Amino acid sequence: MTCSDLNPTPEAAAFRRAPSEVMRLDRMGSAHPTRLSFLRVLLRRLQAEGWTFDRPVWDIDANGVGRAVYRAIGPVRTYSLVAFAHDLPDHMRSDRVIATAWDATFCLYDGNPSEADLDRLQANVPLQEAGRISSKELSLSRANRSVRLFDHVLERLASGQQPDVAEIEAVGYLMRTTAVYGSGKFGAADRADIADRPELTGPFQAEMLSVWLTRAFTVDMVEHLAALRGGDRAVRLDESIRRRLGVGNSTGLGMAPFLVRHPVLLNNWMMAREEALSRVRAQTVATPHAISVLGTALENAKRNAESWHSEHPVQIAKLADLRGDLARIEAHLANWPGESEHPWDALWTWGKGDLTIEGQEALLSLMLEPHGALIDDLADCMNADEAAAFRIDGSVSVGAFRATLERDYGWALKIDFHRPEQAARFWYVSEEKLEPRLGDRFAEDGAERELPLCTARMAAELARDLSGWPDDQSLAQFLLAHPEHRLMARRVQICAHHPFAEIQDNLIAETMLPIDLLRCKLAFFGASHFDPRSDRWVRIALFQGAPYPQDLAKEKLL
Amino acid sequence: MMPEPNDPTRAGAPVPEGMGARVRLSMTELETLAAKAARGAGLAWGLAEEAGAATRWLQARGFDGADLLLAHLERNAGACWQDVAPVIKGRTWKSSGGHPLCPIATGTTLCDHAPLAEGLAAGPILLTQVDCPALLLPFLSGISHRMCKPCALDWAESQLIVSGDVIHSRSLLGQDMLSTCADVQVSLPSAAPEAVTPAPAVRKIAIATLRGLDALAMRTTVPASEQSRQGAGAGTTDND
Repeated sequence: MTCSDLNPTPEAAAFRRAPSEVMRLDRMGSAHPTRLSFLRVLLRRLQAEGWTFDRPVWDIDANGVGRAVYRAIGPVRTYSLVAFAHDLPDHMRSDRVIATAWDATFCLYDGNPSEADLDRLQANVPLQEAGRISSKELSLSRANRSVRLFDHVLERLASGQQPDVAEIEAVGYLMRTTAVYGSGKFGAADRADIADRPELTGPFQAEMLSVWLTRAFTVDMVEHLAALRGGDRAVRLDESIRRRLGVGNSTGLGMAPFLVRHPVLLNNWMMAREEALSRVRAQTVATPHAISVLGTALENAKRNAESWHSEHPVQIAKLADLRGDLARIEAHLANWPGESEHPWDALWTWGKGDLTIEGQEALLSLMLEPHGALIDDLADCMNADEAAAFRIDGSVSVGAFRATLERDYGWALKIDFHRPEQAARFWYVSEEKLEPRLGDRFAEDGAERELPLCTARMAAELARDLSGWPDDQSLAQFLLAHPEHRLMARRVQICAHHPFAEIQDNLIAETMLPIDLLRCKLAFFGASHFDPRSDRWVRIALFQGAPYPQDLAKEKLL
Repeated sequence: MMPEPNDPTRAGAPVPEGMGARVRLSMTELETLAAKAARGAGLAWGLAEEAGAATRWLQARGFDGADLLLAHLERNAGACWQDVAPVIKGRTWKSSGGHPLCPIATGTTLCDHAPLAEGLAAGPILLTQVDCPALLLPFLSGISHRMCKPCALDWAESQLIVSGDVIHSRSLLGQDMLSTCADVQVSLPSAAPEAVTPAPAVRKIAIATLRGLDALAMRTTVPASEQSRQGAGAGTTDND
């Protein structure tokens, strides 16, 4: 049975957006988190299942060095964030993957770690990529302090005062993770071995749990150090200020190839979100409750946009678009829903005509917010059986295959790759720490080791070599003569059954912005405050405004 | 170029001494390493992906797939596709110039052709001189899934039958036998023998195998330059 067999709202089909509209880099690079984002999915589950949390180990000294354990205890299984805190000299603080030391390092342990486990992890986790973890660990990560905010909060709390809210808003987190590895990396448990656990079936749930518990650690850490420094004078963070703190993440090109390498997964993420939008647009009423929730969501979005800063010119322009568009949405909502037969579709159609891409994608997120009962089940469709889509069907005729290629990759076949600006970049893996990077084809060495992420050009080359082949021959015969097209032939067949699998833009064009890829993926994680530091490097915040472990049971349903 | 900087086992948990020692990799690491090594050895990306998946499939079913792949890639060094891909002529497939057949090339070609008149659907196929024939097994699994039938591999006095993801072994072969070059026959028998208890996954590979695959995988990477380093970061301080 597939998700489509289970679809309770077939009437939504009439309201779907086409992949040619959705799968463009500029739109993907304007994505906003939604209630289907992975951190929201995680928190809903933890709350609904009544998970409890504790901190059985807190062994941190006055210099902020030591270890701590945070447990998440569910109805069936327990997971533990094992945290190691370090005294990092400023000159060693780097968010790059080439760093060798961090303010804190973490792993998510599968169960309750023993002392022996903690000792084993202490010998490895602080080394990150240079260490080894085991199948008892589900993720490996590290974090650096925001030096400015951490010091400010520490100083204020130690002297009995609360931190300056403007300072909190300007940064948004005490620490930022600089990598969160899961899925079998560095010896960790393989996803295949844990994916059948309901709480880990959805994408990146172990990683999200690890980051959420890390947020609690960052607050505990600053309060601990403040108490040691200030003694009796020291105070703890105000509830409302604590809530504004998320956990940061700093990331670069390493994340970018993921969406290209996992086409079925990308399809399922996109399709779930698009199905959610179309279900909402298909509604024939806007209830007072939904209108009220929409209003609250808009207020939150406006507040988020106000406290969202960036110095990157692209993002400054997008933020101006967003703020303007949120004001336009607010004005429009004054006379909405009106008499329309499909009020949500009317809202969407208005937005499509009157808002920038940035505002349209923000409106999507707002429109989903009041509709949990209608769309939250779609979160169950966001994982992927990638092995099932791996096998090529060689029995199709060259004629039929060519028709599929021309139908789904027409956008790629129009590009002239002889023009230098259309082939200006090449993706490669650097020998240094195996970091994915983007090179200038005409100025740097190494293009002969290019990664197969240039999907548009590979499609064009496939079409060129297919052109001489008779229609009645098989794809199998063609691939025996042209093994170099096997990877793209597989993508074409995947795309035929997964319409949102392919990013419909040239990923090696001179004008391509890698941050667009990053933003799309990070929005699915649930990132707010997307702040590019260059066209290929970004900082974000996760879990800002979200409850902490100790708050979850007291919250209204998420 | 030294492979050590990217050896996934360096530092941390002490790497066992001696080339005979074994080290545990996750299946994800193994598949990625195998695919990169295959690419580094000259296979097209789409075939390298198949090599990675095949290695993982074997390893999960009690074979030392990594060892087999490395043995094959090293023996095949420098050969081009036309040398090692099968030429389809009737029910006997062989290479064009007498070079042993590449099991990845042969396996994918068997899969692609399975339901066609040239393929297994129309009858058994004799494969002349396949290198490391055990590397065909994951592809026979693919065929079995596709054709909803068991798929048999006969060589020397032995037969292995794959039904879906399960191997039914009538006789077991030693690792040295698995990595030789042999004439084999593949067919779609009407029934599989009773399932045998599956062999446990091989979770560790020899250090020598890891080093060998890593050396090949390194050929997919580009040496760092000042320019590449500069382009990769934020360009601003992280001490803010």
